[in-house]
Amino acid sequence: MRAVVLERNPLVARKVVRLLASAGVSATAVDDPAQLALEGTELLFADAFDGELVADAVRNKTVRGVLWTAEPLRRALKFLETPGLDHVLARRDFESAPRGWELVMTARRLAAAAPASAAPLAAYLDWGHAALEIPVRGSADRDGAVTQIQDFVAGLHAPRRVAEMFGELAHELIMNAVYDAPVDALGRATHAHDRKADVVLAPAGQPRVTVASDGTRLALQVRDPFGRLARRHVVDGLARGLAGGELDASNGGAGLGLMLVHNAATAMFFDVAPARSTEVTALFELDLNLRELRTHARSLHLWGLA
Amino acid sequence: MTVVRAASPKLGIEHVVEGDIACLRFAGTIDEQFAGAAVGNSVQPDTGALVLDLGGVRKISSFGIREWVDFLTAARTRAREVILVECAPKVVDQLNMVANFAAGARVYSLYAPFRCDFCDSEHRVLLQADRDAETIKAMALPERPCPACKQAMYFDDDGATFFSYIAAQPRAELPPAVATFLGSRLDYALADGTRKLRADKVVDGRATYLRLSGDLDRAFPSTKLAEGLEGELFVDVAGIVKIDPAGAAEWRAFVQLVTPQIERLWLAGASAGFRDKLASAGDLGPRGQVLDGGGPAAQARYDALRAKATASRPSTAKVALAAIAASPHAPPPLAPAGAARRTPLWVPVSAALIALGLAGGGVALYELASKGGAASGPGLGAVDQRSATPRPAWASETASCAPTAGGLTCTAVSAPSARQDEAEDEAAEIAYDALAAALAVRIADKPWRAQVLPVFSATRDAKLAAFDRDPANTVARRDVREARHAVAQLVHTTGGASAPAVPTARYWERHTGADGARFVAYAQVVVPAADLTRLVDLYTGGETALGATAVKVFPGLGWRYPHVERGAVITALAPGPLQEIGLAEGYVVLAVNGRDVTDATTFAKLVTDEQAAAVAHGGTLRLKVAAGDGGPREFMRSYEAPTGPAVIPAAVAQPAHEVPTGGINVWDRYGGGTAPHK
Repeated sequence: MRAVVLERNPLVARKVVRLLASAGVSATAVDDPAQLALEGTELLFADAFDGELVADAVRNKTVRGVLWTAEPLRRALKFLETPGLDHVLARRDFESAPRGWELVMTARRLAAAAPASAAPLAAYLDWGHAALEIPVRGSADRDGAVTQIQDFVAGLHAPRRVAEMFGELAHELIMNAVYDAPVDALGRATHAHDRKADVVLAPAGQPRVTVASDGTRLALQVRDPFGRLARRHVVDGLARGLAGGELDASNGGAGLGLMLVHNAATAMFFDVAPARSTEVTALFELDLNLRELRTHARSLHLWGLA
Repeated sequence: MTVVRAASPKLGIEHVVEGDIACLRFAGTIDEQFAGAAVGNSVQPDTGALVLDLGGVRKISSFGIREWVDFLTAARTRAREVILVECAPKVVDQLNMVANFAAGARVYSLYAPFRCDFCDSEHRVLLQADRDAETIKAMALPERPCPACKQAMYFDDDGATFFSYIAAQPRAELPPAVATFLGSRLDYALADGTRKLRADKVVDGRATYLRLSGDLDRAFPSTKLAEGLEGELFVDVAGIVKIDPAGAAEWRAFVQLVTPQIERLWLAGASAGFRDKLASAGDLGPRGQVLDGGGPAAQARYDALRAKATASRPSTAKVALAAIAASPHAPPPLAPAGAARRTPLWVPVSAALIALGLAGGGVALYELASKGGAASGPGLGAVDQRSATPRPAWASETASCAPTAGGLTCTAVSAPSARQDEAEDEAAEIAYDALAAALAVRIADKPWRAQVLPVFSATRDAKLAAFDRDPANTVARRDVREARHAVAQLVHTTGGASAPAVPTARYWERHTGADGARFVAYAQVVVPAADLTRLVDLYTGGETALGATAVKVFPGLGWRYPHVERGAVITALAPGPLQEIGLAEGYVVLAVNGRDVTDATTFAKLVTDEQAAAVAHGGTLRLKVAAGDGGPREFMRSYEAPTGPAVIPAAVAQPAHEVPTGGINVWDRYGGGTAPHK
């Protein structure tokens, strides 16, 4: 697989090319958009600063695009409206490459023709990590699960605010899996109309909730067996939630849940197999303090599974 | 005034009304269970100002935001003005991100989060929109000393983000009535540093008793106070609330002035903060000494003087009781002419609740040593403020834990305190401790009663008895307070959703008498029948591994081990690896090979996995254990690596989804770190 890396910082470009090579992707770097030659290229990597150019290339050519950014995610969201441009990778600043493991995993998965399954949880964490899988049979299990997740984070000696933040994150994702995701045989939402109702899910409809950490990263993964989360839900929802405007749920949700997920995570992965499963994985870097988290760019990955 | 405790199981709301000003104090989680519109519509129509105290808000879910906006929208139609005070950082986040989260309300004060990396602690600093306007406008907070370790702690957020909403808000000037309300009801005078220092002086022969209360700041009249002092001087600083650098300098000047005049200076009632800052040998001078170390004779003289001070009229010939105002511009007489006779201080007996008989069943009843009600407590003075009128029926001087509809209702009362929040905290902790004790009564599980109960019951009895013998003893008082705090924390960390996150109801009264203002608080914790059953099951559900059966750590263990936050208690031990390395029944296992034990399930899983790994590959099984009265101990056993072909234990080699895991540490289910694509 061939790729072009458009990056003005030569040190960053060199590192990205090296990381891509390790993932089996042959990449060349250019520092000027005028030098772009996309014949025979399948992947185009660039900063969100060049997002329009990448989006145009994705729309007009047979390439897929990957962006990285050191700025707030909301500035890059509009580019993700373009199918084929599905990934924004966070980087610390303009002199830094995106996180190595994340770039390599993205390249590896893009190289697979049509991935049928999401990356295993182990792909997000270092070898030897610990994980806690929590059964959630319905709304009655939600608060207990949130407490367990907070306890898990507290057990890592993470600051209390981080534990509470992850508890909030878990609350959002479980609420989504219990109330918003389930549909009946005709595809009609079964519980979304009343989020205060007690809900008991059939075994086949129960989500899988896992929290895990390798001591450096903290991961929360919630998987439901419905596969209803569409790309526009994520992109539009985040756009609404991060716009900072007044609460407006007139157009199907105000994006508040996604905003809370965004605020609690340094990277979000949405793996959706339509009508089969939705898997949301949120990562948090434990070495960041909350002040750094606030200004740190966020990653967003939208994976469509075959 | 009324008090209402409502909302959801995770959210408590205290409702205080005074004239046309109402205050709702939120504590807990705002989520879909918060009926925002209903609470908003419960605000009295034509309320002048609605004050929302949001310092206790811990989490807000996305649906909680909607409910909150519904609440404020409804409340805004019933109050002419809405003011947000003590906004927790979580609330500030939402103010910054959701434009109509405040719905036209004004933010008067907020908590800025600070973090100390040196001692790994988190703190909050209250900022007021008027007093701290420049700081807020600058969107930056300098480092400041950590209250715990004195190293530099830093503002743990991004200033530009954190202050974006409040910095853009027009400068908030409070209406005088609201300012008075905040000052009296929410102690904003304290936050503003305007609590004036008061001094009582009693002279008896060559001994002088000087009691200081209030803030020790630059207004401390060191020269005036030092005038005429001689002989033996007892300075009671139990009432000192805050100390600022200028006040510290004035204190040192005072000590320097009196040292040549007196024979001995005894410092009594010093808080930890006072001791840290102003009670070193240098600060107290060559004739100064902390009373704790002064021996029984000095203590007896002090007690006699203090009793005399509190029992005497101002007009008594030999005892001159003077009130000296700290501010020359506003000399408030502490004991006005014709003041009521001052009776001995109302002993802070609520913390000296009689030890609960753990062996019995049924109603667990506490009795205060004093039968006098708080409202009529001798020496406390009359009630001049209260959070509700009339006092709720449940709030009585008899603390109790009684069965109600199959569940439990525990009520408690605090000792008198100079601070409302401290009194409320203490009442809540006593209520949670009562709940834990009542829960212990209800646990019939024999292994639990045989192995867990003895770990803490004797310690609890001993600490309470010590306090009962001498309620004024600071060590005994601190032990009881520390233990109760630990028990309350353990209820929260181990009880899960079945344990109430906040008291079900609160109530307080302010008494103002000759000793100044004192708060007495009451708390009630209600546990429904279903939750009570779940709690009993939670703490008695055992797991067995390697011959050891363990149960989740019980909150009562806070009396024995105040620093234990989680763990598993061994209730039975059969021959096996754990018995061989020295474990015994009653031991609390805190960690296995450095991994925290949160409950019995993790204990079983961790010891099984770690021991199997050590046997298979060689290594050490280490258990961190709380036992006895010292710090945590470590028990360990080393295993030699097997010779010959390596044997991979089944639990690691097999795909984990085929291996029951008990719900924990299932990393191997996902490939154990193997690359996603090979």
